[in-house]
Amino acid sequence: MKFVIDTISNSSLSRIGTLKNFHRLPQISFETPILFMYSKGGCIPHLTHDVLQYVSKEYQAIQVPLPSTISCHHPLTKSQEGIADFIGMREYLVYCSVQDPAIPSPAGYNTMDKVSIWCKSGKEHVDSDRYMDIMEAFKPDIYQCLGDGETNVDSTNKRIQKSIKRSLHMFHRCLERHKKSEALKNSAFIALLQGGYDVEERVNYAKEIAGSPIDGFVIDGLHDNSPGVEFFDFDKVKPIVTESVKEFPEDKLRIVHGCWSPETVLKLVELGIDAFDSSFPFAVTERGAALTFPYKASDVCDADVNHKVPVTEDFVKEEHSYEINLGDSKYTEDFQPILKDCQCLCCKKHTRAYINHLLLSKELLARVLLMM
Amino acid sequence: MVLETDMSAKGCVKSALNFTILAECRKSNARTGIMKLPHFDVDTPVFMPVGTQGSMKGILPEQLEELDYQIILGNTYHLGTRPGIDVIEKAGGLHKFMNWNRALLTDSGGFQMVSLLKLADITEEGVKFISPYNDMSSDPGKECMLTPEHSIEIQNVIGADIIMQLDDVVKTTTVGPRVEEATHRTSRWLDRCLKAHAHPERQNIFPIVQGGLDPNLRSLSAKMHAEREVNGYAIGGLSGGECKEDFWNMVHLCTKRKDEGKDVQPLLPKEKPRYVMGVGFAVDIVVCCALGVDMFDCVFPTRTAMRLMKSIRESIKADTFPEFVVGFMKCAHPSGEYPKWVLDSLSAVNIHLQKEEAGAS
Ligand SMILES: [Zn+2]
Repeated sequence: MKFVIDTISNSSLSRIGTLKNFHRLPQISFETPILFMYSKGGCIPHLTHDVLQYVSKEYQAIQVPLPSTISCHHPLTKSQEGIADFIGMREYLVYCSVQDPAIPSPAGYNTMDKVSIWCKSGKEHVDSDRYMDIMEAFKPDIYQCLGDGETNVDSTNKRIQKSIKRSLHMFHRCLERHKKSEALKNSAFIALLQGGYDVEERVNYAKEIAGSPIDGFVIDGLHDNSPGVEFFDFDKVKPIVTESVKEFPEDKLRIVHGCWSPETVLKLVELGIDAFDSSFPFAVTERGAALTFPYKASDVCDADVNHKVPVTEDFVKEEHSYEINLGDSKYTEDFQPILKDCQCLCCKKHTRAYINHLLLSKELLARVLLMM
Repeated sequence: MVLETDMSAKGCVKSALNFTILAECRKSNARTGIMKLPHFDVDTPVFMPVGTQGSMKGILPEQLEELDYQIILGNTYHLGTRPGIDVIEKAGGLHKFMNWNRALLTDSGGFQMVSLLKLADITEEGVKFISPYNDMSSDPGKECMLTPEHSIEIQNVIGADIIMQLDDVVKTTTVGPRVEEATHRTSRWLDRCLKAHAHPERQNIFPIVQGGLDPNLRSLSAKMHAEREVNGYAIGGLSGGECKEDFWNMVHLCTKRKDEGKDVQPLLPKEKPRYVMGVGFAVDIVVCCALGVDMFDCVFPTRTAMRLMKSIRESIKADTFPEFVVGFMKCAHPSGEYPKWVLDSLSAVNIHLQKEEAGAS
């Protein structure tokens, strides 16, 4: 993978870049800031492969979290194909992550060299070697290093220290295996940056790994992957992100996961973050609601980089004006599309009233249309 | 001159259903055709998947089109309950509400009512029931009445291309005077439905042949309905656990062209489409096609069923339908031990499974 910065804003730290030169998909490139499409068990929730083609014919990058795919390890050890083929997403870029950005996992089960992965059948303890075995079988285009990111805004200094010690240990072991791995020689390696909400620890951690041959990093350990992340106080996150980013060379891909609210995502873009995941729209779909802001990526980025339009402030002023709860009876006779003039299939063809009816009737199509 | 203008103007009125038979089987009563409906041209024999509440198992209308569904079925009772007729009316009909641009068929709502609501009571007036729903239009526990007029009024609002008369439903296995009462009442209700129909130019009421398993009552019902001015017919009351022998005989009774070796006019006229309600198993569908049925519904739409219908249509066009039936039945019963009813029903329309096979080998 190659990551090239194309433009940096004069007014903020935001930047536009290109991810390219993927060995498995040489003809494909992605513009950043990018949203990795959240998947579960190898599928985009509610969307079959067919429906995905209706959403967009463009190639997408999908995030494949380990908890819902760890069971694929066994069948894949016996085959040469990687996880992309296995889940029928051959033409999509696959990015493997240790945890699921939309599902909080019970805390307190990690050990010095093992991370607990909560899957359907219960808890699996995964150490660096087992993790790297799995990645070698999965052959993802991009993957995270193993780490203990079980810290949040309330974590004690003691817990942060533990997370740092364990994660560094795993980082070195995983990187060592990565460098020697034949199966992963074409996969991008993403470090997990720990340190909870302690700026000093973050900076020290960053210094420790910044010189290593990594392709990018995740600012991990900010939250527990719960839907509550949406309501996080950005001011607490801001110094962590600002100071961490400074320590790395510019061409490292910067990732933040979790279902942050759209305004926080925009603010993180302003701080120079390049990649996110779609767990927020997923969370919105799960509560039977829809997002109603114009979402064309190019609009947001252009505005952000070239002339700083205060889009974000509008969002903050009217909190949640961009989300409508379609299960509400006030939409029963609302024959407008979810978003006027939106060109997506759902808005072009269906009304709020119809989705309201589908939600109340508990029809599967409701969530398909919302997720689109 | 005036008369002529009048005539041509009349000729211009587009019928709400135009059925053209493209090919017929040389041996059996099977036929394939095109049923032109206001929203779409449907290739028959056709199988109509059920989208109970205005959607199909999470499948987008676009996908349904890609799967080549030409007509789907909506349940009046469910739609009337949720989202409610008011909402559908304001949306401009079910086609618009669910964004389905092809053909639709709705049932009368009566069958669902009788089968879902234990308290449903049938009188000459209509189906009386206790509303189980707590919505704005009716209090729970309130006594309501679905009359033939009301059923058509609702179906007129929903706006399906084909709508069903309200019929007096009795359990398939019922015998005695109740069946006779239901048979006659169904015809009386048909007339009330036809009278109440507000959009004959864009919606077709199909009468439902009743008569239980009594051949005399079945014939009577079919004859009475055949006299009405309608564009197609349904054969009802045949998916309630009757034996297969009775089932095929009741269908055959309505469609047969030969009786004891003599050519006869089928009770349900050949030029109009025939729909057997509630029949969805592959073997049953193949047999019914051989008997001359054109439409089926099924709660479990599958690609396999769609392929089956396509093969049936193509084999009739290629005049290889008898051979297709032989091959199909061989696959369905690899041991070669065919159920008696399959052998009997097919030989009633000149397809002799064992003989044809022997001839073929
Ligand atoms: Zn839209």
